[in-house]
Amino acid sequence: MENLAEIWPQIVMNGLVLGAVYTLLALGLALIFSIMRVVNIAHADLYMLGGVLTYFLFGQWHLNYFLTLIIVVACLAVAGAVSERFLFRRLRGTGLAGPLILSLGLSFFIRGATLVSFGERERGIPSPVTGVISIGGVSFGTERLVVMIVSLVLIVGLFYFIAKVKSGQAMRALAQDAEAAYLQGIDINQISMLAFAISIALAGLAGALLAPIFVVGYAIGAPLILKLFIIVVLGGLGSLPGAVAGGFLIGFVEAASFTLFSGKLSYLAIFAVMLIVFLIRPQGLMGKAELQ
Amino acid sequence: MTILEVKDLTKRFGGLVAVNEVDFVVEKGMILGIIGPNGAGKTTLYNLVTGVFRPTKGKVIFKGENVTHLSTHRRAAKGLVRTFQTTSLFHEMTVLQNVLVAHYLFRNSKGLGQLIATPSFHKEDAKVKKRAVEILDYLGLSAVKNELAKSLPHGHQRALGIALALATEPTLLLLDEPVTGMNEVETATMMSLIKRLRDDMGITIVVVEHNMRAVMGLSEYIIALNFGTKIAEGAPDTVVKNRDVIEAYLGVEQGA
Amino acid sequence: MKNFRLLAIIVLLVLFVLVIPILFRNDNYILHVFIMASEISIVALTVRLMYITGEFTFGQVAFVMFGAYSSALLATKAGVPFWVALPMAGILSALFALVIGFPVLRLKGTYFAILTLIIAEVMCQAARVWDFVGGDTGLENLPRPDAIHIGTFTLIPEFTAIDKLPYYYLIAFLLILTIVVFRRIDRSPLGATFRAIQQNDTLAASIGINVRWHRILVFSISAFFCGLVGSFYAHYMTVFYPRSFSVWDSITYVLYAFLGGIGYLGGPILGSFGMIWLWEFMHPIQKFQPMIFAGAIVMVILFLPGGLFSLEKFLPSVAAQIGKMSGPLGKKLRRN
Repeated sequence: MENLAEIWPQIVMNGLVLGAVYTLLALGLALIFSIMRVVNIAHADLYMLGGVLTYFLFGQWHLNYFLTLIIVVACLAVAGAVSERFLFRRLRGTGLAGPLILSLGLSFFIRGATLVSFGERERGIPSPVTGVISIGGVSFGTERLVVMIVSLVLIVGLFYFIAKVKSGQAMRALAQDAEAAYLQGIDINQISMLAFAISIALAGLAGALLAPIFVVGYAIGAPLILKLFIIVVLGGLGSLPGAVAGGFLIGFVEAASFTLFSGKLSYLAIFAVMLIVFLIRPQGLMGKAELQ
Repeated sequence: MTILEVKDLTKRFGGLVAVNEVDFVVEKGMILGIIGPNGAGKTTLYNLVTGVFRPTKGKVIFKGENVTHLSTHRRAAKGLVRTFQTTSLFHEMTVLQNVLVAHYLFRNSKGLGQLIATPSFHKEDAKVKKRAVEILDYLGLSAVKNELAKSLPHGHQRALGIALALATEPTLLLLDEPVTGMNEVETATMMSLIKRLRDDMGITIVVVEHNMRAVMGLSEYIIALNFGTKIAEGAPDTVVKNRDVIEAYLGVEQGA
Repeated sequence: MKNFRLLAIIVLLVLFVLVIPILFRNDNYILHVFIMASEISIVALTVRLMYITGEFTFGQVAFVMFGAYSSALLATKAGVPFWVALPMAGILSALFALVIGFPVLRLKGTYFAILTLIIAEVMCQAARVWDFVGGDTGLENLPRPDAIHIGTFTLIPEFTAIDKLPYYYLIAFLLILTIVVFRRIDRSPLGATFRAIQQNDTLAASIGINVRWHRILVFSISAFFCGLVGSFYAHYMTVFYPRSFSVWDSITYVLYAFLGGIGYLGGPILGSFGMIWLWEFMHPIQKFQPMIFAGAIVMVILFLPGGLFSLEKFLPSVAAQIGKMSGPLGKKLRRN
């Protein structure tokens, strides 16, 4: 094992990067769940889609990276709004099963379509940002730093949106008490569409940001969604601060165990953390679940 | 004999005090009425007594036993049963199926034993069916026994709710707004039914109701709540003339 | 209507038990597909059982795995013969469900569903690093079920690698057993209690039903049958490793149950058999299989939420149509 003093900055850095991205993704999930009680199993596949789009736009057609990001966000936002309007809305109020199955179907569909068009192999994308930055004598990859900063900005932005912007406040009102919100004149249809659009766009953006760092492939959504579920359950299903807590916790646990132990055990480390939290507080760190 | 004793019962939700140090006693064979404006904490009180909520402070003592920490189904097994304000039924089952399923406590075979068709199982099954039919008869639901619960008219749904409670052989029955939304005729029918439950079957009854005439006509003793606190108690005539009680109701009207 | 149902069941039974084996005696491929579909049907049926109490479970693969490993380890490390290991695998899975049911079933609905997913995934991962169960390489050389002879009479024939027929009959027996038990549950007061919990668990508790205990019970029962499937699988394949099981398979079985119609006992069976056969026919366009499957699910959930089996509601009107048909074809159909 290497010198701990040397590797802990790496662990912290990786933890922050992973944590920030996981949080971004988990927030999208938590947002939709808190407002509409919908568990979107396709969330990670939309992350994958963002990466695939980036592969084509930036990797193959060499569009400007920022332009690519904008296009990805726009496309996925529209996709989110459309799927709410024409698919999920039809199942509103029918219970938990319908939307869950629907999102499962969509997840399989997106994966299947990507498999057909993208192929089985995973592919890489050249980095738009290269080089290293030295902070306090330790070198970090610039790209990862950028990704982390962008993610943190987006996270803060989302919380600001919910606290101060009218539509965001409406979302919070809906999450707390749907009936009261309706009586206050909040347009559930509009807000639902917006929430979906934001959630999906964030997922796609995360995918676009991470595509150059990790590989892109049709199946990368599968293990990721399970990790995201662990995160949101850990934080408390539907709780946005909980998603942040869970995201960073898991990010750090994963970064630490990857560096300290081998990759295989990192999963068990995550599970151990989950078990401990679950035994003490089954509804998650900040959750408000009903217990039987 | 005291059936139910509620001591110092308090429930806080964050900063909100829904029920505040409420005490009262219910004697066997009594019909007790609980009144109070909307939001006075009546339903929360029921939830505390039946175990849906755990109290922040205080005790619930049923038949001399401290049941404060028992879960709802355990209290029901001891004879403490309630009905619900919003018609709570098994909507996708027929009326008869509803009452049959409510005989869960009545049956002796539980769990996997119910899968093996022994002669004693059949005997018990027949007993249950007979009793279910009797209960339906008693409540005037025989004609609709094969209708789905969700398709019943409102009055029948209420009666079915009581049938379910009866199936459990309750000692104490907590009725939650049994006549709300009913017309005069239905109200009178329900009131006489409630009296019969006490007179014929010896069930002690607590009624939460808005309809003052119904409460007055039914109860021997009344407790009035406002903002979670008990503001008056006593015989119906006394309580209804109590100044705090009048203010509570008028105050709500003016402020609303 | 009732006669039609009974007739359909008898026809299917005859097909299953007599016709198929005779027709495809030597076609191992077809037999294998049937065996797979039967295994999946049993798991899908357990998903339905859970659903009857109002819970969704995506993690049945955890119990199948548990049964497979239990049975394999009992056979290889303790020399237990298959016919004993099989029920033991079921019982051990049920006990396992009992143990994790206690904490896990404190949560309901979506939380529980996601939790089952997580548990299944963790089990799959944990098996890869645990050397006692063979780690990533898994277990191999698992013994096949023994033949049982009473004197000169062969009660149970040899199970070999070449002849799949004995395996076929074994899984058919397990499937029929599952159907019989589940049907009994459906029609018993226990089944009514389960449905009560599904429809209104607050009301159920207020009339004395211990909701959590019943959910744990149903969890254990469903785990038992999954354990049986796991044991069968282990000694059918004679080799398996952690990668043989996947959370996504587990999810697929839930979808099969839904597609077929989770409200009906026949639904999960219809969904499983239907889908498995569809995939075999669609082999040439295998690439599109996930898309088509997904498309079917989306269509069903949006437009036919009762699943394919719910189309049986239309059978009376079909019969009425046939009744009205004039001409020789109409008369011919009516005579049947």
